[in-house]
Amino acid sequence: MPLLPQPATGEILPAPSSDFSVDARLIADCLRGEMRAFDEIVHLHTPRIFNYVLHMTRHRQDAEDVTQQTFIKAYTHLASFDPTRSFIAWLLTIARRTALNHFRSAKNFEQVAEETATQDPTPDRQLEKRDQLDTLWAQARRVLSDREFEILWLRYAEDMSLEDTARIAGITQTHTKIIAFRARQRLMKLQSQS
Amino acid sequence: MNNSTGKTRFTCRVVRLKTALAGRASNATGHVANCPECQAYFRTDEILVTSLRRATAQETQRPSADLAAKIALAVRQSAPAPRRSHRPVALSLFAGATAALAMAFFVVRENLPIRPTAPKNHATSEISSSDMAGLVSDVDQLRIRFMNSVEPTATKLAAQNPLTQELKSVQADARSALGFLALNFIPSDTLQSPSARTDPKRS
Repeated sequence: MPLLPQPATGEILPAPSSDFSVDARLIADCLRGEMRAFDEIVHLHTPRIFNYVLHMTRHRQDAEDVTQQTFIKAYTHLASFDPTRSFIAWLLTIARRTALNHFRSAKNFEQVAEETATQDPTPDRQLEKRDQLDTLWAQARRVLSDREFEILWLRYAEDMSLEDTARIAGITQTHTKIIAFRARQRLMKLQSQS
Repeated sequence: MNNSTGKTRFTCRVVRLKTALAGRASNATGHVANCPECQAYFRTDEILVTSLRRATAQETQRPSADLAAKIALAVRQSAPAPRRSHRPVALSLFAGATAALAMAFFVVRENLPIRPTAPKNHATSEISSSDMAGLVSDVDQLRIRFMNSVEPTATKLAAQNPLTQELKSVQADARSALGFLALNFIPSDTLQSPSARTDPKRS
């Protein structure tokens, strides 16, 4: 069962509409060779990238590894970033591809999640997980496909625009709308039944 | 609006999908204004979206305290410095292309089938009318040969273009889908002959 091991202790993610000018300044500084600017980028965006990857992998250690690889790739290809676009959307695109590559040669996400669930026998943790089964996102995780969950997460948790969501997921905007529509319909049906 | 079987009517389903695709500004708002079921549906949809946004804070987790520091260190150790710009690459590509073009021009110029002309009197710099006519005919021949070699290939390529074939198959699919929809979902009274619908005396 897809689960999240720790409860949130408050607002963790930075505001979704983070200031583009801050990112632009940091990127420009970094391209001039100031390593400290990239450190700032890492500190600013790590929580969001980590949480997005965690929802894909459902495994903390893997999520941390993928987050690290994401930032290394981002640093290497920083000059190819288009400053007219959203930087966080660019990072999330890299994170998604890195996560997919990370598991392509090994196991799929479902297998990893199953194993993660069986490796956690403490009663407190089990109770905590049972509580989390009732949250809306946990329900979404249960009834939606990976793709549907991902689209909903990008649209409503990450607050990405339709254009950015489609670009990150690698599909058209119309396809994104249809997937989000179907996912919401399923959730509504689930809510009305319960 | 629900019918007797409890399933959502076709019109409502279309309106909901249309609104999801085109937004509230779509021309489906007329139906929504008169359909309490659709109104309830859109209210629930809004509540769901708001709830998802609110529930995000509970679903997010804090990464390890030292994760950002570890990443920063890993970036310093393993990643090469970011490439400044793609301009040098583009510049070298442009220079290469220019050199290739110049080379091609030189080769073509050397191999032009210029008609051998009689040795000229170098004392005079005037070009005779026969030289000019020969040059013109050579150029003309070259043009005709070029057109003969290129034109059939271009026509063949255009006909074999997979995009064109794909477009044709998509058009055929769309036509058959429209036919299927018209056959199954347009009410039977709209399929009557135009005269039967417009002539009130018949009814």
